[in-house]
Amino acid sequence: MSAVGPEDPGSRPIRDGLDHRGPVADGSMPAIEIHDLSIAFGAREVVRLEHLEVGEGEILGLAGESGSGKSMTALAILGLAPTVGATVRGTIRFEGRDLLALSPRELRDVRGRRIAMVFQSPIASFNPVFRVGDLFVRSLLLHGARNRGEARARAEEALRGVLLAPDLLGRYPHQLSGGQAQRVAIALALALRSRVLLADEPTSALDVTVQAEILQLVRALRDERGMSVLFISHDLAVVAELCDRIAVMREGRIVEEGPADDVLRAPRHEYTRALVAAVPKVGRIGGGP
Amino acid sequence: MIDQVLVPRPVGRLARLTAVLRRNPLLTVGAALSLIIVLAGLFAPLLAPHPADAYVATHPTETLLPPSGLHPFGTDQLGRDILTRVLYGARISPLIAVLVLLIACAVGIPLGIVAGYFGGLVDDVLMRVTDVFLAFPALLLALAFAAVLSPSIGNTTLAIALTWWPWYTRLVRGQAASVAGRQYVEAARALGVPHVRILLRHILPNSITPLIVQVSLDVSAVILTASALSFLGLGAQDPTPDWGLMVSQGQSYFTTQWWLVTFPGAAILLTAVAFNLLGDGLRDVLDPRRVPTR
Amino acid sequence: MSEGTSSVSAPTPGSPLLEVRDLVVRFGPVRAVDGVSLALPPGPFGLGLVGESGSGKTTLARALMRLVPASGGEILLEGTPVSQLRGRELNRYRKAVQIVFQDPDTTLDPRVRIGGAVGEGLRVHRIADRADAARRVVRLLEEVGLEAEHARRYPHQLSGGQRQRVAIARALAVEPRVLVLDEPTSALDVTVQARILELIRRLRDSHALAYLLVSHNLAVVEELCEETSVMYLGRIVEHGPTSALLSTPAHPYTVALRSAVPEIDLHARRRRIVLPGTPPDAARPPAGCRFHPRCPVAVDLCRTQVPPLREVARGRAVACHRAQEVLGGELEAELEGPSAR
Repeated sequence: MSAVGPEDPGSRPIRDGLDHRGPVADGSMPAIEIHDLSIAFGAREVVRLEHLEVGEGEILGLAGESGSGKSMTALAILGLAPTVGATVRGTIRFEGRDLLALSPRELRDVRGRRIAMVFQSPIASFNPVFRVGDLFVRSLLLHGARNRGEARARAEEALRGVLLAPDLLGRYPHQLSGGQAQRVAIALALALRSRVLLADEPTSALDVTVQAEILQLVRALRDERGMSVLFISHDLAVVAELCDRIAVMREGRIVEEGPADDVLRAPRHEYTRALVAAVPKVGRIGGGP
Repeated sequence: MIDQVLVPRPVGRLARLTAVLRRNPLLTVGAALSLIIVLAGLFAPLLAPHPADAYVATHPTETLLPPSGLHPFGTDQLGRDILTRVLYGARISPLIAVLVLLIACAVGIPLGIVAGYFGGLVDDVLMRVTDVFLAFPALLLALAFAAVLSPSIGNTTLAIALTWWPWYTRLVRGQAASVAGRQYVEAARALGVPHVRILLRHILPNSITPLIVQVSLDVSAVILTASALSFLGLGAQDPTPDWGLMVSQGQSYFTTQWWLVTFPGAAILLTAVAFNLLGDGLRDVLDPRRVPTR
Repeated sequence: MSEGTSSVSAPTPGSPLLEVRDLVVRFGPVRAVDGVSLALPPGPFGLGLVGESGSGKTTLARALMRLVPASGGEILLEGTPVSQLRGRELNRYRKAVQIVFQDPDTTLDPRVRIGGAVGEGLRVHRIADRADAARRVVRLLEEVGLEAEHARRYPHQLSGGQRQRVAIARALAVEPRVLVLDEPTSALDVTVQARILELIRRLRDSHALAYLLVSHNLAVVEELCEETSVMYLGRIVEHGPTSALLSTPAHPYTVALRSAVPEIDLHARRRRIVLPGTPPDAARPPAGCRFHPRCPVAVDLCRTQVPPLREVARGRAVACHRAQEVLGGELEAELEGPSAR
């Protein structure tokens, strides 16, 4: 059984313009607000964030190299930090509540539904025993759909929203390509009508052409549905393309933060400068062996 | 990426060992017990009150005496001190186990890594041969041996070893097949490293960890098997102070002179448990990346 | 049967050091490499091989190393065919052509010390005896930016970037003339990547290396390779001097690839061409031009006839029926706009 069939009938090439930047933060309530976050393993503190917020309808990029603590921050937001043995202190405000103070049951309601997650390895995040359709239906029934029929309908609508053919619902996760799986993960966020999308290296394992599609999709989610996005990536160029604002992390701390163009064009911190300089650029003057 | 996150772990094997020992009291008990048993066997001539009773001496006037100050474990039907014989028995069982497992490894490991690394026809042939030997229960083979040759410790050892090595071949083969697909093996091939060297230097070291665990767990299993065979009269013969043999000989006296059976039986039990616990603990130690459950 | 893959005129004179002619690598019904020809001149020279997953570039690299058997075509080292070599002659080939793999985490045996890993090739090819080997290993380690004391360490005690350096040292130990680099920096952080690329550049000059750099990252290829070939579904679709290929691509796939690369520099941003659909199944490639189902400018001819790899300009070859139009910039609007189908 092949992993991909002939070209999906529902997909079309998407044209993309240059000015896609979202609305500037206008002082309204941020979607996520982090205060004095400290994540530690025993005595060793690995993340220390004094303040970070994702604005309403904003795409915030969290950039940094491996070990910078960005993934740990994502885990903390999702309430999953203790599962790897970390202790978390601080406040993470979301929809008027402190996520770190929620009970496991309340967290379960938030996680996956109000805050959708997309990870680097979509195949690993899906239960291989269930078909994609089952995954949707189960999640939707758990989070508010009245019956299977409604769940199914919303699932199909969500798939169409990410330009996938609804018949993908009948497939198993291993039958999807990397790009399709990521789109399914995003579709799930759509179906559950999540407010926030938390994406941790969603395109790192994908081909560059497929990556371009996914980025386009994420942007559309924000443009058309007002979803707020926390986009974590080690790839500065991707972050530059997609995000309105960027926070650069290093060794658990934010070294620089601001509007994407400003931070990348005129970095103030030397680490940011080093990162920007290290990214190989096509067509750079003086490039070539 | 989540797999970048590491729970801080104590550095160095010794520190890790101490930490594990502290955390697993059962392992500590097992290790200590095993050590005691081995030492008891080693120093039996010094510890035993009546060393002569171990093999040749008999005392027709002191038969079937209950446990007392002179004979803490009592005497058997030939008047021999049971404590002495139990102590000397501690040399036999572990020795058999060591020999059996040594032979099983010597045969099983080479076959396993060759089968796993080369795959294909070599693998098929070797595995079918292995399957044939897997079909023999130790008992049946030992019986056959006893029928053809005279029953003895040596023949029992051989019989058990012959039924043991196929399991190790299987275990190692699976591991070796997995290792053979790893990139550093491919890199070695690309470098032009000959097969033999790849097998010895790369496949073997990376394939035997599960085997080490298995071997330590098998010590008690071999001891039990050997004891069972001796009990059936297929292994050690009188006057060898083999525990299984002692239990067998003491059977008929069990209801009245319970000490003939109980002490050797307890020795078997204790030894099996001790090495089992040790094997469990070793598995923990050899798996440094296991996140400790809190 | 090669479908019209004409030879590409290499810009450099003289016979190539490593040559691939109409190579085919098959896994059952799947032709992972389907009639590929490449020419790598003597060093210093970098040949880039660009493609995405399913393009066959990694399979090609492994076939070059004789790690997978070729089902057709030929690989030649200085004119001598190598596909059928065995024993000592194969070992001589292995000494001349080495590879650096992608994943620094699995490329080293976790139970072998660094010094042992680097020195293994020396022992196998009898380049040095034990005493001499130790000295050479130290020299190699220093050459790749590590220190003598690293020789005693185990792989898990080194960082990813350091492990890749070890992998490079290991390959260089046997003094190869050709180095195949299979995505050598894809698994590394960007700052580490920059340093490894710099190392490769330095070694290229000091050893007069000729290398084949396989990568999905166009920027990396541009930095290190004079010429580049673009692969799609087992075939070469475009070849030429790297800077020309990237600035004025002649194949729609190259155009899309180029445009999909995200840019930091605001001024370099361009309209993104997002290719529809997904890369097709290699077991059932489309008829005619393999790219046509996703090509924004495909015409009827593309559906039925396989375009041959043809020279369109000096040193540049393209396998596309509309190559001249693409090259001339006539199709820019169509390429960027909604596909005309």
